[in-house]
Amino acid sequence: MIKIYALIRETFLEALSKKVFVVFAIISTIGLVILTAYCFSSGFQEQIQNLQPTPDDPLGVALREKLRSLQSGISFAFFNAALILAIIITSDMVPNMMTKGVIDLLLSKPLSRVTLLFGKVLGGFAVVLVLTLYFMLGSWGIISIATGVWTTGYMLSLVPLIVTFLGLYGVLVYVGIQSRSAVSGMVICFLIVYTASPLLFSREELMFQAVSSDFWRSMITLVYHTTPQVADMAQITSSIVQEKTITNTVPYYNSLAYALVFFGLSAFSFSRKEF
Amino acid sequence: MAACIEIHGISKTYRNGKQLIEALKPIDLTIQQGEIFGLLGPNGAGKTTLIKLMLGIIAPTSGECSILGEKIGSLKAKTLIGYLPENHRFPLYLNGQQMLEFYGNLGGLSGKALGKRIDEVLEFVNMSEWRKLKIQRYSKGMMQRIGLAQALLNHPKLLFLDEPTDGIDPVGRKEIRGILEIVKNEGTTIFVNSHLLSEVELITDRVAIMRKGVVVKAGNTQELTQTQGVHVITLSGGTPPNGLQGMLSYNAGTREAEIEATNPHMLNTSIDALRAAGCFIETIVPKRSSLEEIFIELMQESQELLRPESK
Repeated sequence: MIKIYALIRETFLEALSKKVFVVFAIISTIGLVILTAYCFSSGFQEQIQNLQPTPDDPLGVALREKLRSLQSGISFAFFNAALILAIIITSDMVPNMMTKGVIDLLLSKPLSRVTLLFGKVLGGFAVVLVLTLYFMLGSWGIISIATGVWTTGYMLSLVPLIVTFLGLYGVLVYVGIQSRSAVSGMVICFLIVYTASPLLFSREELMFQAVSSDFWRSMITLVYHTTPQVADMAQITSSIVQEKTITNTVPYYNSLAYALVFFGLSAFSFSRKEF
Repeated sequence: MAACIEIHGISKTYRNGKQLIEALKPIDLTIQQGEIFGLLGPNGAGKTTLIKLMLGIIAPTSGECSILGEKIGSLKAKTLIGYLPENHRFPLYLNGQQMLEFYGNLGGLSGKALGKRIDEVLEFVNMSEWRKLKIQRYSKGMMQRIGLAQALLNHPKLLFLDEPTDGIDPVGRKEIRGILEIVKNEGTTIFVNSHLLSEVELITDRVAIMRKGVVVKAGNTQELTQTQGVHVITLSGGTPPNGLQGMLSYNAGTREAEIEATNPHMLNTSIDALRAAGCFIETIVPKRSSLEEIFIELMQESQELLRPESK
Protein backbone atom coordinates (compact mmCIF):
# COMPACT_ATOMS: atom_id res chain seq x y z
CA MET A 1 0.00 0.00 0.00
CA ILE A 2 2.89 2.35 0.83
CA LYS A 3 4.19 1.87 -2.73
CA ILE A 4 0.86 2.87 -4.29
CA TYR A 5 0.66 5.84 -1.95
CA ALA A 6 4.20 6.90 -2.91
CA LEU A 7 3.33 6.74 -6.62
CA ILE A 8 0.13 8.74 -6.13
CA ARG A 9 1.97 11.36 -4.09
CA GLU A 10 4.80 11.62 -6.62
CA THR A 11 2.34 11.90 -9.51
CA PHE A 12 0.53 14.62 -7.62
CA LEU A 13 3.74 16.55 -7.09
CA GLU A 14 4.59 16.05 -10.77
CA ALA A 15 1.22 17.54 -11.74
CA LEU A 16 1.72 20.42 -9.30
CA SER A 17 4.96 21.31 -11.07
CA LYS A 18 3.19 21.63 -14.42
CA LYS A 19 1.91 24.92 -15.78
CA VAL A 20 -1.29 23.31 -17.01
CA PHE A 21 -2.18 22.30 -13.44
CA VAL A 22 -1.65 25.86 -12.28
CA VAL A 23 -3.65 27.14 -15.27
CA PHE A 24 -6.51 24.77 -14.39
CA ALA A 25 -6.45 25.94 -10.77
CA ILE A 26 -6.28 29.62 -11.82
CA ILE A 27 -9.12 29.28 -14.33
CA SER A 28 -11.21 27.50 -11.70
CA THR A 29 -10.43 30.19 -9.13
CA ILE A 30 -11.27 32.99 -11.59
CA GLY A 31 -14.50 31.16 -12.42
CA LEU A 32 -15.36 30.91 -8.73
CA VAL A 33 -14.57 34.59 -8.17
CA ILE A 34 -16.78 35.63 -11.11
CA LEU A 35 -19.53 33.30 -9.89
CA THR A 36 -19.30 34.78 -6.39
CA ALA A 37 -19.50 38.32 -7.78
CA TYR A 38 -22.50 37.37 -9.93
CA CYS A 39 -24.35 35.41 -7.25
CA PHE A 40 -23.95 38.14 -4.64
CA SER A 41 -24.67 41.01 -7.03
CA SER A 42 -27.71 43.08 -6.18
CA GLY A 43 -29.38 42.17 -9.48
CA PHE A 44 -29.12 38.44 -8.88
CA GLN A 45 -30.10 38.77 -5.22
CA GLU A 46 -33.13 40.80 -6.25
CA GLN A 47 -34.14 38.07 -8.70
CA ILE A 48 -33.77 35.48 -5.96
CA GLN A 49 -35.91 37.54 -3.61
CA ASN A 50 -38.59 37.80 -6.29
CA LEU A 51 -38.50 34.03 -6.81
CA GLN A 52 -38.88 33.07 -3.16
CA PRO A 53 -41.85 30.72 -2.38
CA THR A 54 -45.18 32.51 -2.42
CA PRO A 55 -48.72 31.31 -1.75
CA ASP A 56 -48.99 30.81 -5.55
CA ASP A 57 -45.68 28.91 -5.66
CA PRO A 58 -45.32 27.36 -2.17
CA LEU A 59 -42.54 24.94 -3.23
CA GLY A 60 -40.41 27.63 -4.83
CA VAL A 61 -40.53 25.97 -8.26
CA ALA A 62 -39.59 29.21 -10.04
CA LEU A 63 -36.52 29.62 -7.84
CA ARG A 64 -35.48 26.03 -8.44
CA GLU A 65 -35.94 26.51 -12.18
CA LYS A 66 -33.69 29.55 -12.12
CA LEU A 67 -31.16 27.64 -10.09
CA ARG A 68 -31.21 24.59 -12.38
CA SER A 69 -30.75 26.74 -15.43
CA LEU A 70 -27.68 28.43 -13.90
CA GLN A 71 -26.16 25.17 -12.62
CA SER A 72 -26.89 23.35 -15.87
CA GLY A 73 -25.04 26.01 -17.86
CA ILE A 74 -22.06 25.92 -15.53
CA SER A 75 -21.83 22.12 -15.36
CA PHE A 76 -22.11 21.77 -19.17
CA ALA A 77 -19.35 24.33 -19.73
CA PHE A 78 -17.25 22.83 -16.96
CA PHE A 79 -17.73 19.32 -18.40
CA ASN A 80 -16.14 20.39 -21.68
CA ALA A 81 -13.42 22.59 -20.20
CA ALA A 82 -12.46 20.09 -17.51
CA LEU A 83 -12.18 17.26 -20.04
CA ILE A 84 -9.71 19.25 -22.17
CA LEU A 85 -7.56 20.21 -19.21
CA ALA A 86 -7.76 16.75 -17.60
CA ILE A 87 -6.60 15.15 -20.85
CA ILE A 88 -3.73 17.63 -21.18
CA ILE A 89 -2.64 17.21 -17.55
CA THR A 90 -2.62 13.42 -17.60
CA SER A 91 -1.44 12.87 -21.18
CA ASP A 92 2.30 12.81 -20.46
CA MET A 93 2.32 11.08 -17.09
CA VAL A 94 2.77 7.54 -18.41
CA PRO A 95 5.05 8.47 -21.36
CA ASN A 96 7.23 10.50 -18.93
CA MET A 97 7.45 7.52 -16.61
CA MET A 98 8.60 5.39 -19.51
CA THR A 99 11.55 7.57 -20.50
CA LYS A 100 15.06 6.14 -20.23
CA GLY A 101 16.61 6.93 -16.89
CA VAL A 102 13.23 6.99 -15.17
CA ILE A 103 11.72 3.62 -16.02
CA ASP A 104 14.99 1.71 -15.47
CA LEU A 105 15.18 2.86 -11.90
CA LEU A 106 11.49 2.31 -11.20
CA LEU A 107 11.62 -1.22 -12.59
CA SER A 108 14.63 -2.04 -10.44
CA LYS A 109 12.53 -1.49 -7.33
CA PRO A 110 10.71 -4.39 -5.69
CA LEU A 111 7.24 -3.70 -7.04
CA SER A 112 5.35 -5.35 -9.87
CA ARG A 113 4.87 -3.55 -13.15
CA VAL A 114 1.10 -3.65 -12.73
CA THR A 115 1.44 -1.96 -9.32
CA LEU A 116 3.70 0.66 -10.85
CA LEU A 117 1.25 1.43 -13.65
CA PHE A 118 -1.74 1.26 -11.33
CA GLY A 119 -0.14 3.70 -8.89
CA LYS A 120 0.74 6.14 -11.65
CA VAL A 121 -2.74 5.94 -13.21
CA LEU A 122 -4.37 6.36 -9.82
CA GLY A 123 -2.16 9.39 -9.19
CA GLY A 124 -3.33 11.00 -12.43
CA PHE A 125 -6.92 10.22 -11.58
CA ALA A 126 -6.50 11.74 -8.10
CA VAL A 127 -5.13 14.94 -9.65
CA VAL A 128 -8.15 15.29 -11.92
CA LEU A 129 -10.53 14.42 -9.08
CA VAL A 130 -9.06 17.09 -6.79
CA LEU A 131 -9.15 19.76 -9.50
CA THR A 132 -12.74 19.02 -10.52
CA LEU A 133 -13.89 18.73 -6.91
CA TYR A 134 -12.30 22.09 -6.17
CA PHE A 135 -14.41 23.88 -8.76
CA MET A 136 -17.59 21.86 -8.36
CA LEU A 137 -17.64 22.00 -4.56
CA GLY A 138 -16.70 25.68 -4.66
CA SER A 139 -19.36 26.66 -7.18
CA TRP A 140 -21.98 24.48 -5.49
CA GLY A 141 -21.24 26.15 -2.16
CA ILE A 142 -21.33 29.68 -3.62
CA ILE A 143 -24.63 29.12 -5.48
CA SER A 144 -26.22 27.36 -2.51
CA ILE A 145 -25.22 30.09 -0.05
CA ALA A 146 -26.31 32.83 -2.42
CA THR A 147 -29.72 31.26 -3.09
CA GLY A 148 -30.29 29.43 0.16
CA VAL A 149 -31.19 26.30 -1.82
CA TRP A 150 -28.98 23.23 -1.49
CA THR A 151 -29.46 20.83 -4.39
CA THR A 152 -27.76 17.48 -4.89
CA GLY A 153 -28.12 17.25 -8.67
CA TYR A 154 -25.32 19.71 -9.34
CA MET A 155 -22.74 17.74 -7.37
CA LEU A 156 -24.00 14.48 -8.88
CA SER A 157 -23.21 15.89 -12.33
CA LEU A 158 -19.58 15.28 -11.44
CA VAL A 159 -20.22 11.54 -11.84
CA PRO A 160 -20.69 11.55 -15.66
CA LEU A 161 -17.65 13.83 -15.99
CA ILE A 162 -15.47 11.46 -13.98
CA VAL A 163 -16.81 8.36 -15.75
CA THR A 164 -16.25 9.99 -19.16
CA PHE A 165 -12.74 10.96 -18.16
CA LEU A 166 -12.02 7.40 -16.99
CA GLY A 167 -12.93 6.01 -20.41
CA LEU A 168 -10.74 8.54 -22.19
CA TYR A 169 -7.97 8.13 -19.62
CA GLY A 170 -7.87 4.42 -20.44
CA VAL A 171 -7.31 5.28 -24.11
CA LEU A 172 -4.72 7.91 -23.18
CA VAL A 173 -2.73 5.47 -21.03
CA TYR A 174 -2.85 2.69 -23.59
CA VAL A 175 -1.76 4.94 -26.47
CA GLY A 176 0.91 6.44 -24.18
CA ILE A 177 2.36 2.98 -23.50
CA GLN A 178 2.31 1.97 -27.14
CA SER A 179 3.65 5.21 -28.62
CA ARG A 180 5.57 6.55 -25.59
CA SER A 181 4.23 9.91 -26.66
CA ALA A 182 1.85 12.27 -24.94
CA VAL A 183 0.79 13.94 -28.17
CA SER A 184 -0.59 10.81 -29.86
CA GLY A 185 -2.91 10.02 -26.96
CA MET A 186 -4.01 13.63 -26.67
CA VAL A 187 -4.81 13.90 -30.39
CA ILE A 188 -6.83 10.67 -30.33
CA CYS A 189 -8.80 11.80 -27.26
CA PHE A 190 -9.51 15.22 -28.72
CA LEU A 191 -10.66 13.61 -31.96
CA ILE A 192 -13.06 11.45 -29.96
CA VAL A 193 -14.34 14.31 -27.80
CA TYR A 194 -14.65 17.06 -30.38
CA THR A 195 -15.17 15.24 -33.68
CA ALA A 196 -16.26 11.61 -33.52
CA SER A 197 -18.56 11.82 -30.52
CA PRO A 198 -20.56 14.95 -31.51
CA LEU A 199 -20.90 13.67 -35.09
CA LEU A 200 -22.05 10.24 -34.00
CA PHE A 201 -24.35 11.74 -31.36
CA SER A 202 -26.12 13.70 -34.12
CA ARG A 203 -25.80 10.87 -36.64
CA GLU A 204 -29.51 10.84 -37.50
CA GLU A 205 -29.62 14.56 -38.27
CA LEU A 206 -26.18 14.85 -39.85
CA MET A 207 -24.90 11.57 -41.21
CA PHE A 208 -28.01 9.63 -42.12
CA GLN A 209 -29.03 12.48 -44.42
CA ALA A 210 -25.96 11.85 -46.52
CA VAL A 211 -26.05 8.06 -46.34
CA SER A 212 -29.09 6.23 -47.66
CA SER A 213 -27.73 2.67 -47.56
CA ASP A 214 -28.98 0.61 -44.58
CA PHE A 215 -25.64 -1.13 -44.42
CA TRP A 216 -23.72 2.09 -43.95
CA ARG A 217 -26.28 3.40 -41.48
CA SER A 218 -25.83 0.19 -39.47
CA MET A 219 -22.09 0.63 -39.63
CA ILE A 220 -22.36 4.22 -38.39
CA THR A 221 -24.60 3.03 -35.55
CA LEU A 222 -22.09 0.31 -34.72
CA VAL A 223 -19.28 2.88 -34.60
CA TYR A 224 -21.46 5.07 -32.38
CA HIS A 225 -21.93 2.22 -29.90
CA THR A 226 -18.26 1.33 -29.86
CA THR A 227 -16.89 4.87 -29.46
CA PRO A 228 -16.85 6.75 -26.13
CA GLN A 229 -20.18 8.58 -26.03
CA VAL A 230 -18.88 11.86 -24.72
CA ALA A 231 -21.62 14.04 -26.20
CA ASP A 232 -24.28 11.79 -24.65
CA MET A 233 -22.53 12.12 -21.30
CA ALA A 234 -22.52 15.90 -21.61
CA GLN A 235 -26.25 15.78 -22.15
CA ILE A 236 -26.68 13.45 -19.18
CA THR A 237 -24.75 15.99 -17.07
CA SER A 238 -27.31 18.67 -17.89
CA SER A 239 -30.17 16.25 -17.28
CA ILE A 240 -28.84 15.35 -13.84
CA VAL A 241 -28.61 19.01 -12.85
CA GLN A 242 -32.10 19.63 -14.12
CA GLU A 243 -33.24 16.62 -12.08
CA LYS A 244 -34.64 14.93 -15.16
CA THR A 245 -34.96 11.16 -15.23
CA ILE A 246 -32.05 9.55 -17.01
CA THR A 247 -33.50 6.99 -19.38
CA ASN A 248 -30.35 6.11 -21.30
CA THR A 249 -27.59 4.76 -19.10
CA VAL A 250 -25.69 3.08 -21.95
CA PRO A 251 -23.11 5.93 -22.23
CA TYR A 252 -22.06 5.20 -18.62
CA TYR A 253 -21.48 1.53 -19.39
CA ASN A 254 -19.78 2.48 -22.63
CA SER A 255 -17.26 4.70 -20.81
CA LEU A 256 -16.74 2.20 -18.01
CA ALA A 257 -16.21 -0.59 -20.56
CA TYR A 258 -13.66 1.60 -22.35
CA ALA A 259 -11.86 2.20 -19.08
CA LEU A 260 -11.89 -1.49 -18.19
CA VAL A 261 -10.75 -2.71 -21.60
CA PHE A 262 -8.05 -0.08 -22.11
CA PHE A 263 -6.64 -0.24 -18.58
CA GLY A 264 -6.58 -4.03 -18.92
CA LEU A 265 -4.78 -3.78 -22.26
CA SER A 266 -2.42 -1.20 -20.78
CA ALA A 267 -1.53 -3.44 -17.83
CA PHE A 268 -0.97 -6.41 -20.17
CA SER A 269 1.14 -4.39 -22.57
CA PHE A 270 3.14 -2.61 -19.86
CA SER A 271 3.97 -5.83 -18.02
CA ARG A 272 5.39 -7.35 -21.22
CA LYS A 273 7.16 -4.30 -22.59
CA GLU A 274 10.94 -4.22 -22.77
CA PHE A 275 12.71 -1.00 -21.93
CA MET B 1 33.89 -16.50 -1.30
CA ALA B 2 30.30 -17.32 -2.26
CA ALA B 3 28.86 -16.19 -5.57
CA CYS B 4 26.73 -13.07 -5.62
CA ILE B 5 25.73 -13.18 -9.28
CA GLU B 6 25.69 -16.38 -11.29
CA ILE B 7 25.08 -16.08 -15.00
CA HIS B 8 24.71 -19.24 -17.06
CA GLY B 9 24.39 -18.99 -20.82
CA ILE B 10 22.31 -15.85 -20.68
CA SER B 11 21.60 -14.25 -24.05
CA LYS B 12 19.36 -11.61 -25.53
CA THR B 13 18.06 -11.28 -29.06
CA TYR B 14 15.90 -8.34 -30.08
CA ARG B 15 13.52 -8.34 -32.97
CA ASN B 16 13.62 -5.26 -35.15
CA GLY B 17 10.91 -5.83 -37.72
CA LYS B 18 11.96 -9.01 -39.51
CA GLN B 19 15.56 -8.61 -38.42
CA LEU B 20 16.91 -10.36 -35.34
CA ILE B 21 19.60 -8.48 -33.42
CA GLU B 22 21.74 -10.58 -31.12
CA ALA B 23 22.60 -8.02 -28.47
CA LEU B 24 24.09 -10.57 -26.12
CA LYS B 25 25.52 -13.95 -27.08
CA PRO B 26 25.37 -16.70 -24.41
CA ILE B 27 27.43 -15.50 -21.47
CA ASP B 28 28.72 -17.30 -18.40
CA LEU B 29 29.95 -15.13 -15.56
CA THR B 30 30.24 -15.37 -11.81
CA ILE B 31 30.67 -12.37 -9.54
CA GLN B 32 31.79 -13.08 -6.01
CA GLN B 33 30.31 -11.52 -2.91
CA GLY B 34 32.10 -8.47 -1.62
CA GLU B 35 34.06 -7.67 -4.77
CA ILE B 36 33.93 -4.66 -7.04
CA PHE B 37 33.39 -5.94 -10.55
CA GLY B 38 33.87 -3.74 -13.58
CA LEU B 39 32.13 -4.27 -16.90
CA LEU B 40 33.92 -2.63 -19.81
CA GLY B 41 33.31 -2.37 -23.48
CA PRO B 42 32.72 0.08 -26.31
CA ASN B 43 29.27 1.45 -27.10
CA GLY B 44 26.96 -1.29 -28.33
CA ALA B 45 29.01 -4.04 -26.67
CA GLY B 46 25.98 -5.28 -24.73
CA LYS B 47 26.91 -3.93 -21.28
CA THR B 48 23.63 -2.13 -20.68
CA THR B 49 21.69 -5.13 -21.98
CA LEU B 50 23.50 -7.35 -19.48
CA ILE B 51 22.74 -4.94 -16.61
CA LYS B 52 19.10 -4.68 -17.65
CA LEU B 53 18.86 -8.46 -17.71
CA MET B 54 20.31 -8.72 -14.22
CA LEU B 55 17.91 -6.06 -12.96
CA GLY B 56 14.94 -7.85 -14.49
CA ILE B 57 14.10 -4.87 -16.72
CA ILE B 58 14.25 -7.10 -19.79
CA ALA B 59 13.80 -10.86 -20.07
CA PRO B 60 16.59 -13.10 -21.37
CA THR B 61 16.12 -15.00 -24.62
CA SER B 62 17.93 -17.96 -23.09
CA GLY B 63 19.94 -18.88 -20.03
CA GLU B 64 19.61 -18.28 -16.33
CA CYS B 65 20.85 -15.76 -13.83
CA SER B 66 20.52 -15.55 -10.08
CA ILE B 67 21.41 -12.95 -7.50
CA LEU B 68 22.32 -14.42 -4.13
CA GLY B 69 20.31 -17.48 -5.08
CA GLU B 70 17.22 -15.52 -6.11
CA LYS B 71 16.02 -15.61 -9.70
CA ILE B 72 16.61 -12.31 -11.49
CA GLY B 73 13.54 -10.16 -11.92
CA SER B 74 11.84 -11.59 -8.83
CA LEU B 75 10.69 -9.13 -6.18
CA LYS B 76 12.92 -10.92 -3.66
CA ALA B 77 15.97 -10.39 -5.89
CA LYS B 78 15.06 -6.73 -6.33
CA THR B 79 14.99 -6.17 -2.56
CA LEU B 80 18.70 -7.12 -2.55
CA ILE B 81 19.65 -4.61 -5.24
CA GLY B 82 20.57 -0.96 -5.31
CA TYR B 83 20.84 0.71 -8.71
CA LEU B 84 22.17 3.96 -10.06
CA PRO B 85 21.32 4.16 -13.77
CA GLU B 86 23.27 5.97 -16.44
CA ASN B 87 21.61 9.23 -17.57
CA HIS B 88 19.19 8.98 -14.69
CA ARG B 89 16.33 11.44 -14.63
CA PHE B 90 15.30 11.96 -11.06
CA PRO B 91 12.06 13.91 -10.52
CA LEU B 92 13.31 17.49 -10.75
CA TYR B 93 10.22 18.83 -8.98
CA LEU B 94 11.21 17.01 -5.78
CA ASN B 95 13.89 17.98 -3.33
CA GLY B 96 16.54 15.51 -2.21
CA GLN B 97 14.62 14.43 0.86
CA GLN B 98 11.35 13.92 -1.07
CA MET B 99 13.14 11.99 -3.78
CA LEU B 100 14.67 9.62 -1.22
CA GLU B 101 11.28 9.22 0.48
CA PHE B 102 9.73 8.31 -2.86
CA TYR B 103 12.31 5.68 -3.81
CA GLY B 104 12.49 4.46 -0.21
CA ASN B 105 8.72 3.89 -0.22
CA LEU B 106 8.97 2.01 -3.51
CA GLY B 107 11.64 -0.14 -1.87
CA GLY B 108 9.19 -0.94 0.91
CA LEU B 109 10.62 1.40 3.57
CA SER B 110 8.39 3.82 5.44
CA GLY B 111 7.89 5.81 8.62
CA LYS B 112 10.64 6.36 11.16
CA ALA B 113 12.82 3.60 9.74
CA LEU B 114 12.90 5.37 6.39
CA GLY B 115 13.50 8.76 8.01
CA LYS B 116 16.45 7.38 9.96
CA ARG B 117 17.90 5.67 6.91
CA ILE B 118 17.55 8.83 4.83
CA ASP B 119 19.51 10.76 7.49
CA GLU B 120 22.22 8.09 7.40
CA VAL B 121 22.65 7.92 3.63
CA LEU B 122 22.54 11.69 3.23
CA GLU B 123 25.23 12.01 5.86
CA PHE B 124 27.21 9.24 4.17
CA VAL B 125 27.23 10.90 0.75
CA ASN B 126 27.71 14.32 2.31
CA MET B 127 24.38 15.72 1.10
CA SER B 128 22.58 16.45 4.38
CA GLU B 129 22.98 20.16 3.84
CA TRP B 130 21.19 20.02 0.47
CA ARG B 131 18.29 17.75 1.35
CA LYS B 132 15.69 20.53 1.07
CA LEU B 133 17.03 21.90 -2.20
CA LYS B 134 15.11 21.08 -5.39
CA ILE B 135 16.93 18.46 -7.46
CA GLN B 136 16.81 20.70 -10.52
CA ARG B 137 19.29 22.97 -8.75
CA TYR B 138 21.78 20.17 -8.04
CA SER B 139 25.12 20.03 -9.83
CA LYS B 140 26.13 16.88 -11.68
CA GLY B 141 28.25 15.75 -8.74
CA MET B 142 25.42 16.35 -6.26
CA MET B 143 23.07 14.48 -8.58
CA GLN B 144 25.38 11.46 -8.57
CA ARG B 145 25.76 11.58 -4.80
CA ILE B 146 22.00 11.77 -4.20
CA GLY B 147 21.65 8.97 -6.76
CA LEU B 148 24.10 6.89 -4.76
CA ALA B 149 22.16 7.68 -1.59
CA GLN B 150 19.03 6.45 -3.35
CA ALA B 151 20.78 3.24 -4.38
CA LEU B 152 22.00 2.62 -0.83
CA LEU B 153 18.67 3.25 0.92
CA ASN B 154 17.62 -0.36 1.27
CA HIS B 155 21.01 -1.68 2.53
CA PRO B 156 21.61 -3.47 -0.79
CA LYS B 157 23.70 -6.61 -0.93
CA LEU B 158 24.49 -5.79 -4.55
CA LEU B 159 24.97 -2.35 -6.00
CA PHE B 160 24.70 -1.74 -9.75
CA LEU B 161 26.36 1.47 -10.89
CA ASP B 162 26.08 2.52 -14.49
CA GLU B 163 28.68 5.18 -15.30
CA PRO B 164 28.78 6.49 -11.71
CA THR B 165 31.54 9.03 -12.33
CA ASP B 166 30.64 10.13 -15.84
CA GLY B 167 30.75 13.91 -16.23
CA ILE B 168 32.12 14.48 -12.74
CA ASP B 169 35.24 16.49 -11.96
CA PRO B 170 38.29 14.73 -10.47
CA VAL B 171 37.47 15.85 -6.92
CA GLY B 172 33.94 14.51 -7.24
CA ARG B 173 35.25 11.27 -8.70
CA LYS B 174 37.61 10.85 -5.78
CA GLU B 175 34.73 11.39 -3.37
CA ILE B 176 32.66 8.75 -5.11
CA ARG B 177 35.59 6.33 -5.09
CA GLY B 178 35.88 6.91 -1.36
CA ILE B 179 32.18 6.18 -0.88
CA LEU B 180 32.43 2.99 -2.92
CA GLU B 181 35.40 1.79 -0.93
CA ILE B 182 33.45 2.18 2.32
CA VAL B 183 30.43 0.43 0.80
CA LYS B 184 32.67 -2.40 -0.35
CA ASN B 185 34.26 -2.71 3.09
CA GLU B 186 30.78 -3.11 4.54
CA GLY B 187 30.47 -6.26 2.43
CA THR B 188 28.38 -4.96 -0.46
CA THR B 189 29.15 -6.35 -3.89
CA ILE B 190 29.50 -3.59 -6.47
CA PHE B 191 28.95 -4.02 -10.19
CA VAL B 192 30.28 -1.05 -12.14
CA ASN B 193 29.75 -0.27 -15.78
CA SER B 194 32.01 2.52 -16.93
CA HIS B 195 33.80 4.04 -19.88
CA LEU B 196 36.37 5.64 -17.61
CA LEU B 197 38.94 2.89 -17.66
CA SER B 198 41.37 4.63 -15.33
CA GLU B 199 38.57 4.90 -12.77
CA VAL B 200 37.66 1.25 -13.17
CA GLU B 201 41.29 0.27 -12.78
CA LEU B 202 41.48 2.17 -9.51
CA ILE B 203 38.43 0.65 -7.87
CA THR B 204 37.73 -2.80 -9.28
CA ASP B 205 38.92 -6.20 -8.09
CA ARG B 206 37.91 -7.94 -11.30
CA VAL B 207 36.78 -6.85 -14.73
CA ALA B 208 35.10 -8.30 -17.79
CA ILE B 209 35.61 -6.74 -21.18
CA MET B 210 32.78 -7.08 -23.69
CA ARG B 211 32.61 -6.59 -27.39
CA LYS B 212 29.68 -7.24 -29.74
CA GLY B 213 27.72 -9.13 -27.11
CA VAL B 214 30.61 -11.37 -26.08
CA VAL B 215 32.86 -11.33 -23.01
CA VAL B 216 36.27 -11.27 -24.64
CA LYS B 217 38.24 -11.22 -21.41
CA ALA B 218 37.50 -11.51 -17.70
CA GLY B 219 39.79 -11.67 -14.75
CA ASN B 220 41.53 -10.07 -11.81
CA THR B 221 42.33 -6.41 -12.56
CA GLN B 222 45.87 -6.73 -11.15
CA GLU B 223 46.61 -9.85 -13.17
CA LEU B 224 45.14 -8.46 -16.35
CA THR B 225 47.24 -5.32 -16.21
CA GLN B 226 50.44 -7.19 -15.41
CA THR B 227 52.65 -7.72 -18.46
CA GLN B 228 53.78 -11.32 -18.14
CA GLY B 229 57.52 -11.75 -17.67
CA VAL B 230 58.54 -8.12 -18.15
CA HIS B 231 60.15 -6.24 -15.28
CA VAL B 232 61.15 -2.62 -14.98
CA ILE B 233 64.50 -2.12 -13.23
CA THR B 234 65.32 1.41 -12.11
CA LEU B 235 68.99 2.17 -11.72
CA SER B 236 70.50 4.93 -9.64
CA GLY B 237 74.00 4.37 -10.93
CA GLY B 238 75.78 2.82 -13.87
CA THR B 239 74.62 1.88 -17.37
CA PRO B 240 73.38 -1.55 -18.48
CA PRO B 241 75.93 -3.39 -20.64
CA ASN B 242 75.21 -3.76 -24.34
CA GLY B 243 73.70 -7.11 -25.22
CA LEU B 244 72.33 -7.77 -21.73
CA GLN B 245 70.22 -10.92 -21.93
CA GLY B 246 66.48 -10.19 -22.03
CA MET B 247 66.82 -6.41 -22.09
CA LEU B 248 64.03 -4.92 -24.16
CA SER B 249 64.84 -1.25 -23.71
CA TYR B 250 66.71 1.28 -21.62
CA ASN B 251 65.62 4.86 -21.05
CA ALA B 252 68.64 6.90 -20.06
CA GLY B 253 66.46 9.80 -18.89
CA THR B 254 64.44 7.83 -16.36
CA ARG B 255 67.21 5.25 -15.96
CA GLU B 256 64.66 2.49 -16.42
CA ALA B 257 65.50 -0.80 -18.11
CA GLU B 258 62.82 -3.21 -19.28
CA ILE B 259 63.97 -6.78 -18.86
CA GLU B 260 62.09 -9.80 -20.12
CA ALA B 261 62.50 -12.68 -17.69
CA THR B 262 59.89 -15.37 -17.78
CA ASN B 263 61.24 -17.12 -14.68
CA PRO B 264 63.11 -16.08 -11.51
CA HIS B 265 66.35 -17.70 -12.74
CA MET B 266 66.40 -15.48 -15.85
CA LEU B 267 65.62 -12.41 -13.75
CA ASN B 268 68.46 -13.15 -11.32
CA THR B 269 70.87 -13.74 -14.20
CA SER B 270 70.01 -10.29 -15.56
CA ILE B 271 70.39 -8.70 -12.12
CA ASP B 272 73.80 -10.36 -11.69
CA ALA B 273 74.89 -9.05 -15.10
CA LEU B 274 73.76 -5.54 -14.19
CA ARG B 275 75.54 -5.66 -10.84
CA ALA B 276 78.69 -7.00 -12.53
CA ALA B 277 78.56 -4.05 -14.93
CA GLY B 278 78.61 -1.68 -11.93
CA CYS B 279 74.94 -0.79 -11.95
CA PHE B 280 73.27 0.17 -8.72
CA ILE B 281 69.69 -1.18 -8.63
CA GLU B 282 67.10 0.98 -6.95
CA THR B 283 63.83 -0.86 -7.67
CA ILE B 284 62.56 -3.90 -9.55
CA VAL B 285 58.84 -4.04 -10.33
CA PRO B 286 56.76 -6.19 -12.69
CA LYS B 287 55.70 -4.08 -15.65
CA ARG B 288 52.02 -3.17 -15.76
CA SER B 289 49.96 -2.02 -18.68
CA SER B 290 47.10 0.31 -18.01
CA LEU B 291 43.61 -1.11 -18.36
CA GLU B 292 43.17 1.28 -21.23
CA GLU B 293 46.09 -0.29 -23.10
CA ILE B 294 44.73 -3.79 -22.43
CA PHE B 295 41.28 -2.65 -23.53
CA ILE B 296 42.46 -1.16 -26.82
CA GLU B 297 44.65 -4.18 -27.52
CA LEU B 298 41.72 -6.51 -26.89
CA MET B 299 39.40 -4.49 -29.07
CA GLN B 300 41.90 -4.72 -31.91
CA GLU B 301 42.40 -8.46 -31.37
CA SER B 302 38.70 -9.22 -31.17
CA GLN B 303 38.09 -7.12 -34.27
CA GLU B 304 40.40 -9.49 -36.09
CA LEU B 305 38.64 -12.53 -34.61
CA LEU B 306 35.19 -11.20 -35.32
CA ARG B 307 35.99 -10.09 -38.85
CA PRO B 308 34.67 -13.21 -40.69
CA GLU B 309 31.39 -12.85 -38.84
CA SER B 310 30.83 -9.31 -40.02
CA LYS B 311 31.25 -10.31 -43.64
